[in-house]
Amino acid sequence: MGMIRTLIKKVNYLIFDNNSSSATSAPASAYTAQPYSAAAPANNVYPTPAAARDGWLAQMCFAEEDPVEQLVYNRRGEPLQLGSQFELASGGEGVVYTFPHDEKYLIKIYKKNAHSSAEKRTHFIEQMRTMINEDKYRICRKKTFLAWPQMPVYDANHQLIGFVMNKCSGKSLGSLKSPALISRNFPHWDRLDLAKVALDFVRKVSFLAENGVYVNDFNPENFLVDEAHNVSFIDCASFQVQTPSGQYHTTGTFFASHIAPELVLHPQNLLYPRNIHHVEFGTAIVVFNILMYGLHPYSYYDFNRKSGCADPDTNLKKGRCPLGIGTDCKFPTGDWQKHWSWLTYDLKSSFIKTFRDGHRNPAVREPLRELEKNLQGLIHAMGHDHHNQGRRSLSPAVKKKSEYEGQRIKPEDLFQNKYQ
Amino acid sequence: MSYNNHNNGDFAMRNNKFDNLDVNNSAPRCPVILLLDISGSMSGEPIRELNAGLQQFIDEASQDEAASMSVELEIITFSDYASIVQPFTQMSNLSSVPTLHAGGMTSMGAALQLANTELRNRRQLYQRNGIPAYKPWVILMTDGGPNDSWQNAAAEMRQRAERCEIMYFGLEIGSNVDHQTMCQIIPQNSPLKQLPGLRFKPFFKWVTDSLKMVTRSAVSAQDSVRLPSTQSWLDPSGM
Repeated sequence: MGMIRTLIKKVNYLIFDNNSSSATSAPASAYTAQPYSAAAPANNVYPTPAAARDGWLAQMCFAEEDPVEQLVYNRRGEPLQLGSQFELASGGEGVVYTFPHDEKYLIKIYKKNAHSSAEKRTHFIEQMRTMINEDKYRICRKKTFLAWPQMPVYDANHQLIGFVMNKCSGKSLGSLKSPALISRNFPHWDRLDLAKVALDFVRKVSFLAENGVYVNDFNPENFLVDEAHNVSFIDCASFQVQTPSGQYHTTGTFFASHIAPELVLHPQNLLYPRNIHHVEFGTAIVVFNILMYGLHPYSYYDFNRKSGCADPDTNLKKGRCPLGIGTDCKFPTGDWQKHWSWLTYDLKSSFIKTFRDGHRNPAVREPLRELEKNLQGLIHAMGHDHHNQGRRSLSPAVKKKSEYEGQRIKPEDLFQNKYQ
Repeated sequence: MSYNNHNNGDFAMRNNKFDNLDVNNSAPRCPVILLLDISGSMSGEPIRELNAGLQQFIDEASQDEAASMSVELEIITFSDYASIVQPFTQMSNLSSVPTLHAGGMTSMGAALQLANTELRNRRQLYQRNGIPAYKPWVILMTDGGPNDSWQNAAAEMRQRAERCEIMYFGLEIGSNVDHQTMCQIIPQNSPLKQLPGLRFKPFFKWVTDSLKMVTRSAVSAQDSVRLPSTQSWLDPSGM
């Protein structure tokens, strides 16, 4: 009985939103039509004949522009007029504006229907209250690499509709998806720069985890990188935080191809708080993306048997991972084997532990600190390896020869100056 | 390189060197086929506005990093015959397309047959190379109705849409569209919309914004993406 009460308590504080459209309730007069995929409304009932004819358009499109408040208020009731001249970005959830009085900040205002249920609304309010007010997150509020909520923003009825956050700058990690994009966005970069970005990312995820904050949504678009290899986190509202009473707030938001398999295979697990192994998995995917030009670690295709599937999300669920030592890799067509070959042995081992061995066994996934050490080892190898042309080149001409083992550099040896 | 389908006759052979597939691009692909009516009735302002809308589409989509790496655009026009004026090309490699000129009849059936073949071939190409892909978008735009034999090709495309394998969209231009036939070509679960006036630019802006959303999603979650409202181009008063 105690366990059931605990489960109910946990469910009450968690919002499950599997990025799926919620079904509209059936009106008195209903129109049936061929449903469109898994997003079809319940009982194949559409609200109007036009919507039935529209099919996927009716389900995927907002029926009309969801309004966003442009006259907002702070805690003291002081007004602030926003407008299109301040609009920076617009998404499905809300609109981000530059803060008119201070360019170091942005304001995110949620659309009127962003929190479609009372439960979601309650969760949003509690999450904001925790992130803005709680002392234990003061250290996070001060970090400029986090777009952490700093101050609440209200509408005329004193309803919480958004927040002020730090402004972060840079390009999204999606801009590192190919050598051509990297050369366009960061003209002087090579793979050493990518390794530094990956290292900074892991360090910051570790910092958050050590302060009781778990990154929930590892969509690469949620992270920005600048010329100095600094990574910023811009979707802090999706983080998992803990209230003073010990309850966890997690939005249930996730990026389907960057989530631990136990969460996507068993959606009931989404009702529970995330743990460090979920974070380890998501972090490793992003690091792999960075070092392998956006390739997903579950991009698997067996050219000999023509088995496997080109969709990484499906491969992730089924545990079809192409990673292995030497030639036991089944990457898709392209230079992927070449890029993989130039990673260090220890880093490859980290990825194999997490994605292959740790697919069904979260406990064996590479801890963040070990991943960090192995990235430091890669950076050191790039600086000192006489094959550094291959290691550092964005487009290496050849694969690293398997008979070249190289030195197994232990990061702790770096501190003893063993490699001069 | 383009090849033509003259009244369901033989296809010219495609040169495989023009598959235009960058295997070192890790982004999941989103093939987009525009089936464009360039029959005689599209002469004058309609074809001018269509050309302008197309160029805007290419300019905006190629500037977006996610869309430019994922979207592969193919343009099939139909008049006296169907022709691929732009084979599948990654948006990041596209700066313009040939200017379209109107004239002739409406070989919509030939265009649909060509599109069916292209979709099949492209899917096989992705599979052979282990490249993931979003559902293809097929947008059919016409100001009239088919003059050729269209039933078989249309049925095959319908079935793809009914199996939810593609995002199929019909756009009617002007007041002389054979709406009854279009209702048979575009299946019940796919939109068939009347373009107000010649609002090609707002329509293509919506397409660009929608593709930006789709190409930022995980492939397995693409059906759950919320696209922008169609009000921006359906509203005759304009934005």
